[in-house]
Amino acid sequence: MMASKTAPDVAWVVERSVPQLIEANQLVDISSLKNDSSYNFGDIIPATLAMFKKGEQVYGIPFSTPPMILFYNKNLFKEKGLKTPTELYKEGNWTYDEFQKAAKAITDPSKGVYGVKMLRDWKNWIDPLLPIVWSYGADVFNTDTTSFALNTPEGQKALQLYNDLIFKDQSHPKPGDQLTFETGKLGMYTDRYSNVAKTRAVKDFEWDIAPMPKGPAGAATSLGLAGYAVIQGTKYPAESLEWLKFISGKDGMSATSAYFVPPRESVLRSDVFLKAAPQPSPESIQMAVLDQMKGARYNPGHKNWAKVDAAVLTQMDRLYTQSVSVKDALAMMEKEVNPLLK
Amino acid sequence: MSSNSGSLRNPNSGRTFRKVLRTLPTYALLSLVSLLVVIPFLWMVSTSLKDQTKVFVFPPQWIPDPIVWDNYPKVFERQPFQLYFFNSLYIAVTVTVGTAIFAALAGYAFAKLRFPFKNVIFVVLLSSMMIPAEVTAIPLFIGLTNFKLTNTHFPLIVPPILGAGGMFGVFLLRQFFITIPGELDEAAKIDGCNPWTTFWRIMLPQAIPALATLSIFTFLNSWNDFFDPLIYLSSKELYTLPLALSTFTDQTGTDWHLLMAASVMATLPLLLVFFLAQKRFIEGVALTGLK
Amino acid sequence: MLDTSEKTANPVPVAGKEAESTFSLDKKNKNKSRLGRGEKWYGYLFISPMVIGYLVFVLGPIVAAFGISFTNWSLYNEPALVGLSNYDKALNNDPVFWITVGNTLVFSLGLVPLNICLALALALLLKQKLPGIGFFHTIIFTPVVTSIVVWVIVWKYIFATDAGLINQFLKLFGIQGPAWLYSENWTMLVIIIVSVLKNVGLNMVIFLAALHDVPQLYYDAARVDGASPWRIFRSITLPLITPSIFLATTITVIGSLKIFGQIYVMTGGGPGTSTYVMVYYIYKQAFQFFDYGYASAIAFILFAIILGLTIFQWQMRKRWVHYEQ
Repeated sequence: MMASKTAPDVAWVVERSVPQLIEANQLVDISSLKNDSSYNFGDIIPATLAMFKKGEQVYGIPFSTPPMILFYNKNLFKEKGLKTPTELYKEGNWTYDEFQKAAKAITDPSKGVYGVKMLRDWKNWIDPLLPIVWSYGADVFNTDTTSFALNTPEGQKALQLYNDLIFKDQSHPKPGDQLTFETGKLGMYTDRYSNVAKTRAVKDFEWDIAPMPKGPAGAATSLGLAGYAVIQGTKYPAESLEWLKFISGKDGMSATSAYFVPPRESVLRSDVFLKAAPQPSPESIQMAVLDQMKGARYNPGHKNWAKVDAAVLTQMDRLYTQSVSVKDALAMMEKEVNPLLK
Repeated sequence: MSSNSGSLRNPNSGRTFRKVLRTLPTYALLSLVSLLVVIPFLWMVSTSLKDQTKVFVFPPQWIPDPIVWDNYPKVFERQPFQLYFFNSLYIAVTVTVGTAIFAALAGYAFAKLRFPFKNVIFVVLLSSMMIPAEVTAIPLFIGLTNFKLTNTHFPLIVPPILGAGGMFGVFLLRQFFITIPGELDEAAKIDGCNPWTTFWRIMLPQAIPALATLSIFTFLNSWNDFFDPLIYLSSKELYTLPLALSTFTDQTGTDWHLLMAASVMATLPLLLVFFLAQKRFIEGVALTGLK
Repeated sequence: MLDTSEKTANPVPVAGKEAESTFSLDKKNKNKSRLGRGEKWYGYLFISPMVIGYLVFVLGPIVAAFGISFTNWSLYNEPALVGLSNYDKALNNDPVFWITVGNTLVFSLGLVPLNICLALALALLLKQKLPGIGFFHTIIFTPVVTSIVVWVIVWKYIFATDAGLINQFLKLFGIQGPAWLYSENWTMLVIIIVSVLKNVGLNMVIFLAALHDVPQLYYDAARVDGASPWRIFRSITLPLITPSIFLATTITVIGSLKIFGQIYVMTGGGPGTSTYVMVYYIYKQAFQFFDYGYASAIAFILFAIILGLTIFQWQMRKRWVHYEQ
């Protein structure tokens, strides 16, 4: 759309492509919001702004920062007499080991039931991998995203866990599968908090949310990030800014907080967000969402993201077709991705 | 009507029995292929009436329980479906009529009129059917942007008529007109008709079967086009059906039950029209001398 | 048929009857010389919309794309001439490019014979006047009028691992079905089958029309001579419908080299690069990586392949396509 100059005045931009857009001068500088007293710029959690800034200039405002969390099917846990993730978390025992065990116990091929599914779309490798990778002390890229960093012993362990869930334990659906959590066939499902919109429609079983498990290096989850930005070339820059101010101001964010995890402190702690619907309970939301946001990190971005994504996906696919070992896959990824990050 | 009936020793019933046996393999093979083709449609309809949580149950549910008629109105809640339907319709009709006229005109000229370089020009124009659309898409897109014609329906109407799509029509109509005896032409000329009148009054009416065939092809292509609306349209009000269908897959995954309901609604009108018109269509294919 | 039509368009004086009619036409032309010359202008006028359309919407963009293929233009920077480096990169430095070429050819080789043979078989079966035959005819044609997006989406669902229809069906027999769309072996096959089912109806109709045109008396004569059905098919039916076979094959080959929709929706080129075909690669380079220069170069290589194959088929037709005198 930007190429054809028909983009809207204000747009919802995905965090991964923001660096690319800023580089290409497609977004308007809206740093003036910092000094606007009625806007309360300081209310916005600083870490959520990182991706939208270049130096001190601000180019966008985050409106939804949902963490990856765990959805689980209470009925399936009860059936097998297992302690739920929430219970294990309260005990301090919610680790990837327990995670793996629970998944295996719940899996029942005769009923088409799986213990866990960690993605919605088999082309999305980053959302399932990042939390595991981080909690094993590894990372996909180095701090300034100039080299591929997953080809380490910790990285291998993390990817191996994921691979084992699918092919060794067989507690994770196989590649190409289209099962969703709402069908009641999944014991656990990891996704962004925004998925509650769908899950709230479930009537056939009881469910709840819990934080992601912790690994050897601690608990970690990733934060999705979507923001509003004003697009360069808009004929109504002043009005666009006002509109942006409105929807990202305290009232605007409160209105959307039923689905979108707001990056404004005031809204996050408010009843509007916590009591948006009967499910999940405020206690669960506090545990799975708010408490995890402090330590959460963002999905990385890069101006060459499309090519990096394609290169990694090719190797992931080779894992999915079992044509290569985890070790070799990582080595190939490193080889293919590093040149793209220069 | 034989008075002996049912007796196994009756030669007539024996022959009929063998005849039926011989047709069995035919029906069997046809049924197999038809089954492969029909199952997707049956599944589409079945899923369109399912509750969201029952879409992937095992064993699979053919008859939805409960039957969720609500999915259909929900599709309209999600999007102004009737608007997309209308867009697809008027675009397809315009392209079909436009192509019919211009292709017939050119087809007639290439078939019956004489002018220098005629064959060379024809072959050159023909080559346009071999270019993948993706090659021309980018420069075309940039060009149309400079004329502020993106995010309108212009790129979905004019290039198909006068570009590669229309060329197919020219090819088809030329084939057809060639099979019309030259005497008809000559007679018209003697009567003092200029080529325009000849074309309009005499040739065009003759070409109706061929035009019918062409129209069906053109209409289908326009109705089902996905790529061009994808790259040119950004305002929702301008969307066509295939594009709208693809938007059921979004940030929150695919709503299969709604997607199927929408797909049923998008496909049913075409199928109905086809059922009604298929005889004409087959005749048309035969008449255009495609053999 | 194509052969004879060319002769009519450009009458060449030959001996016998044709020569007579040519001479008489010449005489008529001389009498109506003014009208004859006017005819020329009408000719140009009638074809002008198409020609203009061609120049603006086809030739122009092709020339522009050709130019772009010699630059390193991407959406975010200004184009700069880089000579043949895009072509060099494709042919020498990009293993993925050759994979796409290979995949495209594999797809074509798999699809075309399957499609043509099945269409012919179906046409032969449907030619018979049996009760309810029209019903099958319609059913087999319906995928042709369906949108490829809709068609492929449903099949994607049917071939889903574990919970898809096919694997559930196999489960009933205790067979663990493979991951159809996530297997280096099966995925291309699935795409081929789905594509064949989509379009076989069209070729079937073309063949049906051709079969109807074979004069019944040939069959009667052959039967009187005691020829077997297979002999009849090989010596009478087959030769007489070769023009249709040629046409259907050419169209199907060209179409198969340009597939895109089913790859985009069903596999996204995966798993890995096992279903990357040329047009999909062009799309990815142009609309996801924004590498217009490189994308245009690949597009031209594809065009060269299609053109070459088509010319080859056209030349070969003299060998095996039988035209009635």
